[in-house]
Amino acid sequence: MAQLSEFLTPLDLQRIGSLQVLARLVVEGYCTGLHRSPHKGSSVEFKQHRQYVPGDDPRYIDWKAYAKTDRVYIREYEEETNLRATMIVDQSGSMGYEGSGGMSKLQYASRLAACLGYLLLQQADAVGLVTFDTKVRKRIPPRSRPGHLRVVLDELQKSRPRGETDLGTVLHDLAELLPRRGMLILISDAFGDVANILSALAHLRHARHEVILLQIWDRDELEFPFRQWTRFDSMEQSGVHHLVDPAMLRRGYMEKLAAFREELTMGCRRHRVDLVPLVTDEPYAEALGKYLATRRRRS
Amino acid sequence: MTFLSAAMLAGIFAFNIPLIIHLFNRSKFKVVRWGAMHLLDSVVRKNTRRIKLEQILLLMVRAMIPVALALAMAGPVATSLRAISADTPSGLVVMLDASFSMMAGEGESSHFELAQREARRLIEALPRGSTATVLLIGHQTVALTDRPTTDLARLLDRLDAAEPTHTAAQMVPAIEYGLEVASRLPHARRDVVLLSDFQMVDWPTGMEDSLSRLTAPYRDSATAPRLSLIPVGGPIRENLAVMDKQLSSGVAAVGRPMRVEVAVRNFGLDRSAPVRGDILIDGQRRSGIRFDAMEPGELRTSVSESPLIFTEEEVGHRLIEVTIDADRLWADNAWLGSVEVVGRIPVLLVEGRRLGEFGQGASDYLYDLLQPFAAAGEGRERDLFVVDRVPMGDLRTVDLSRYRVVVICDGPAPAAEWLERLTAWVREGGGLLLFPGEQMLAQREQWNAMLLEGDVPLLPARIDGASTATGDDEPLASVLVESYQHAALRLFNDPARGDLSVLRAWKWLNLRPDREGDATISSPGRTIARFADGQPFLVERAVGEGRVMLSAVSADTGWSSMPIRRIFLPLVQQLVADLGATTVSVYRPELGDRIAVAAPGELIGREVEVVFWPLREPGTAAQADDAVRRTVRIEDRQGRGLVPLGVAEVPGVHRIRGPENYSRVVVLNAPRSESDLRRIEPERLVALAEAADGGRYDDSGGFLAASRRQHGREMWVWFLAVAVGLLFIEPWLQQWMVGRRRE
Repeated sequence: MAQLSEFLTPLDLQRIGSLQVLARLVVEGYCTGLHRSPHKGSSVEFKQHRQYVPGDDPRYIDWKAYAKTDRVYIREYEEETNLRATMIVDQSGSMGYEGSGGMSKLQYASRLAACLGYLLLQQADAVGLVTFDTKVRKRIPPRSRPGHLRVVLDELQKSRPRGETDLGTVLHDLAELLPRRGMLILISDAFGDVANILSALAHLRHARHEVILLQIWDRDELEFPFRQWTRFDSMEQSGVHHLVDPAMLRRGYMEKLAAFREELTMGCRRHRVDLVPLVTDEPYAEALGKYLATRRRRS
Repeated sequence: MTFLSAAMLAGIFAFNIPLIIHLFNRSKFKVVRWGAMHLLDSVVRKNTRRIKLEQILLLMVRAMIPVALALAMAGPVATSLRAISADTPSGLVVMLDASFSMMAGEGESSHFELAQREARRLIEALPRGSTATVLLIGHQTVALTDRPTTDLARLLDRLDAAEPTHTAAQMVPAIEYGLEVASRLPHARRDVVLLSDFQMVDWPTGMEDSLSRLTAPYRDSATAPRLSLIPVGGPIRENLAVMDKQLSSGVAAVGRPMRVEVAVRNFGLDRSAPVRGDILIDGQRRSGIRFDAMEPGELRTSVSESPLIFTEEEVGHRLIEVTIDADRLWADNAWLGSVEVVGRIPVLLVEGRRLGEFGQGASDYLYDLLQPFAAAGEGRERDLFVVDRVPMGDLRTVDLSRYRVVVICDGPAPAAEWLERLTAWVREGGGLLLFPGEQMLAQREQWNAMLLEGDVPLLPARIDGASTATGDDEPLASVLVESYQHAALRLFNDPARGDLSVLRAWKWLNLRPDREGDATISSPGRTIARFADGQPFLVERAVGEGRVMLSAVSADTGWSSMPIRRIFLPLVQQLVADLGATTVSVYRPELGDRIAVAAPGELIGREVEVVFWPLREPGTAAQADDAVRRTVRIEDRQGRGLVPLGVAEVPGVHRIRGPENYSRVVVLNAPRSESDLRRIEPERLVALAEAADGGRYDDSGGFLAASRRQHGREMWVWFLAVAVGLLFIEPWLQQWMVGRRRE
């Protein structure tokens, strides 16, 4: 069974542990935590009255108010609850790219997911995991039991890059599979048709999920440093390759890359999705810590 | 269009190198498994066509660089652009006749000095950047600079310092060398200009064919070197040359008067004025000589005004020098030689028959003829020879090393034990004179077998019996009078010295000289005097360091009347003296040759002293340091010793002395062929120029005017500029293509 120490160094844990993950939105939960739930129901802290409508649970009728006003009101409570976070990790072929840093993007994503899982479970939030390529490969529902972390880590350790990617379709499917609102932490390179991806993200947002896209890059993909003649073999489609002089292509590539990133950034902003670009040669824990600090200030 | 160095065109194939590198890079590509293919796909799709075009363009630029460089290095010449490039650098090889004849001249300047001035004008007229050299033609052709140079100022300095040689010009190899040097000059215009007095002897019949053959390999090339002939100076009206000197006796003996006979030829065009001369021994005047006026081409001999008498102190080799005060070509106004002054020559007379009363022995007459003063009772000390006479049987006990000449008169076949000693003695330098008689005739087969067919043949000729004549219907044999070449007989070339034709014989040996004319052996027998019917009278053979002479006639009156003829006395004295003077070899190589003198193998590794006395210009005072002394080690040449003296460049005499009485003399005189200053006719000069496919000009000005722009224009600079331009364009183009702009 995988141990947390395989993913996080003590220094990583020390940096992340000093931060608090504060949900910006109140989600539905069943464990007491620091996150505020957007749902009204059984609670210990009264929030408001509202007029009874047929179909309301008669257990929540405030009989004292009925006696005083002769009107039927329902008591609503604001309750402290857990965050339901689901980490969606892309394990398509492109995530297997391993540049000069010696770590593939999938390895980087797995460590990142481990950090988040540990952190969330430490504060009694529920953590789930979904892995996918062209479709969902594995789905672990969110749980807040401390032992649940081992289940998540085992699945992360087993993940291997394979096949093509179809991020848009997968996210659409997930929107149907995750009926309860929560935080979706999408860890992917987000390669693919941008419009399709943004459409899927909008779908998730429509289901009132909070979506965070941790986009994983390798430095080679950002700088295209190749000089000598190179044959680029597709990691997702066998038999697809280009034999080119990279120096001659670099300018066009960089322009295409910039356009891609710009389009994705603008789309995420439009749909209120947090887009966090991360590069595999950056210390992932440090990058994650900065993002969480930013979220706390915003909340 | 043609090329100076067409071989460099092979460099054009270097255009393949960028192509090969391109293909090599493509084949040695790196494989990257790439994730962001959605980004790359569209870029590749969009840019493939543009990239291919750019790569082809870049490849072409890269390929053009080596092509342009190769073309530049090949030295392209646009032959269609003739007559427009007067300032184009050119190549010039000036060939300066530096032979001995170029020292002649009519005015203040010698022909060589005139040629120097013409050469200077030619070099000074060269455009900047031209390459030139000057070759001095003598016995060998010598360049003034190691290689053709663009430093024309330095070349001119060396030209001014150049001196003519005392050697004869070797024109054919010189021109061949000059053309070869010119063909390698890095210019389209290549001229070879020969400045010479065009002496007739240097341009013998057939030179046209030689020139045509020499220039033939270059004719197909538009940039071939062009040979131009420019005569310098004019006809020389006065030139006398000392041709030879002879001594009245083969050897100069102490106390015996000796006269010197000198031959002078008038090589001038005019009748010469009477001229006086001096005879010097070791630089000191010892006698005078005068010549009357001579017609052009006439050879005249004259005898020293007073006899030379040597003292005991002068025994040994002496430098003898004959000079006449004639004309400015002074090196042929003198003749150098060496004379060996001897004391009295010890001679061993071997009697083959019987010693007794006068007339019984075969050597009786010779005994008196070799010491006439003693025979006349006037004292033996006045005689040149000291004669001991022994019977043949005593030869086995006689110490031969005490004698310089052994004369054997008749006798039976030699005994083996003394024949071996005699042979060794001759090989070490002894002189042997053999007179026949009846005993030798009777045992001629044994004589032939033992002295001719042995390991070391001593006899100069095979004895094939004898001939006789009665004198009635059979004429007696008389000695043929001719121009004798042998030193011992040259005295008799002057009839006043005696007429050998008075000598008559009624019996004589039939001699067949051993392998005469056979060039494959070093010492065949040779006939030095003949009878009137052509049969040999005297034959000679060199044996080691010594010589052997054989007479066909006996030394007594049994076969001829010679012994009682007065002329027989000087004849015998000359023969014996000549044989006695052979202990030191005199070597007369040509000036310009590399001299090496043979030495005994036992002396290899030992040192010898070499003293060189250069010929001095007549009228100049002898200096104490005229002689050049040095020590030379004897080298090993396959077991034989060799004394290397280097190249002979200056007339003079080398005297070599070494251990164990080793002594040699080397005499160097200016070549008399160069004294003949007649020039070839102007028509012949034109014919020579045409044969060489070249030109003939009166002077350097004519050459410069006529040769202006007969050559093409060099294009290498343009191609080099293209190559340099492409070198700059290539990186800029590459940067532009990859989209990087200079900051």
